[in-house]
Amino acid sequence: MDSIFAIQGKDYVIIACDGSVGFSILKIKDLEDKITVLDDNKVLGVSGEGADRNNFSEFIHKNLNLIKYRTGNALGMNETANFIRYQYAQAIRSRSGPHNCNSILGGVDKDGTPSLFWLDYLGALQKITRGAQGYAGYFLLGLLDNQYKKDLNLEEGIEIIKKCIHEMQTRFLISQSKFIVKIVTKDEIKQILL
Amino acid sequence: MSRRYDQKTTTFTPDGRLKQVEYALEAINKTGSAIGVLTQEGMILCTEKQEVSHLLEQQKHSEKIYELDKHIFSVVSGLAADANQLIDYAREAAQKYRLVYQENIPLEQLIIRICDIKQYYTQHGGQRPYGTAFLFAGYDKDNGFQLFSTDPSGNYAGWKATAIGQNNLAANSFLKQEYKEDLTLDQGLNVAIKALVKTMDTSSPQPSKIEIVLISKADKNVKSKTLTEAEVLALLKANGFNNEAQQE
Repeated sequence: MDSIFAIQGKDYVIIACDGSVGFSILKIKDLEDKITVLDDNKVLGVSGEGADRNNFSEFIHKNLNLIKYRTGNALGMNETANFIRYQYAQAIRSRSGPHNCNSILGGVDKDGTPSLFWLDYLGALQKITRGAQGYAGYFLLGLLDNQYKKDLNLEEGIEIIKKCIHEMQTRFLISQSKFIVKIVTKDEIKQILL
Repeated sequence: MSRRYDQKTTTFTPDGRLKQVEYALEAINKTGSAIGVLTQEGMILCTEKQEVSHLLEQQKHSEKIYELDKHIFSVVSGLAADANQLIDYAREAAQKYRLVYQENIPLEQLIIRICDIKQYYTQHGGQRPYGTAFLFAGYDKDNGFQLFSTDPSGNYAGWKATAIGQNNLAANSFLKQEYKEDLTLDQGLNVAIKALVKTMDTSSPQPSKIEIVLISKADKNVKSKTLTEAEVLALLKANGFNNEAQQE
């Protein structure tokens, strides 16, 4: 039961995920990175069963690479979001079935505009400023709504993410001790552990 | 049976040429010319319509200049029927891209798709190549304004200013001399019309035979303007054509 949550600030986005991988009553791993780096300025946090999660993020990542090499340019944020949505939408009524995972795409365009997108396995796409996938939503949407304001600076954003993590650790039944946090700005993608 | 024809369209000659492609170019060079000019402020596409008779129905929109998507225009030189097929394909490709990405298709990607089709017919047996050359003019956010030309072989090239079709050699050498990188849209328009008239037999062309489209940007949107016949006449006169003195 992956928690993915994210917030958009003035010139950055932050996506955080829990690190635990479970199998029945076992915790196999506690530091699994569920946020794939798609390119220099985009990340995709995916929530779902292990195989579906990996498969889908790899599929998107490699297709975006192909597009980058074929055309000479990486896609912008809006195009990437719609591309991913299209893949979900094609799959949902296909012979092989839907991609059994939900995602949050975050990144910063070349002109410095940050954006965050919420996508689900049915092919829904929504541009958001803060959001979550999985059970995290039940606990965090209220908190995120409460804390969010326009043009947050980086310190404020990280503080909010810390509050979210604390909330999950306090109130969520499934213990999630470690969280991987990726911060995307125009120039770099930074990863921290909280 | 069809092997007899295969050899002609898709085989190299001993001196390494594809005859059919060259013949297609000949066909194109007999048809009305098209000129494209790129400036910092926007682009100019102009062309000469060849058969203008009073009996022909007036087209509502441009006859030879096609809008492929809101950010891409093209002019055709060569066989109109061949061109129509490719134009239709291009329009579809542009919308397919928009369906997936919700964005304008980058110019070069669209052109590559058309050129791949043109190339196909130079390599697979039985069918002749497309007898069309295009000028594509448009805008995308990564590369700004761009001007491309394509030919029946499936090659394409990016230009600052170029001419295709009838008398394009004369027009191209004129453009080489007169084109400057810092032209404004109006100056570019003057250069374009002069180049176009160079390809014609007369120095007082009928405005009804000339089609001109200006492509520029307003904020994030690409806008286009087709000159009216009156505006074309004014432009010709401003550049020294169609003067009373000349018509003596």
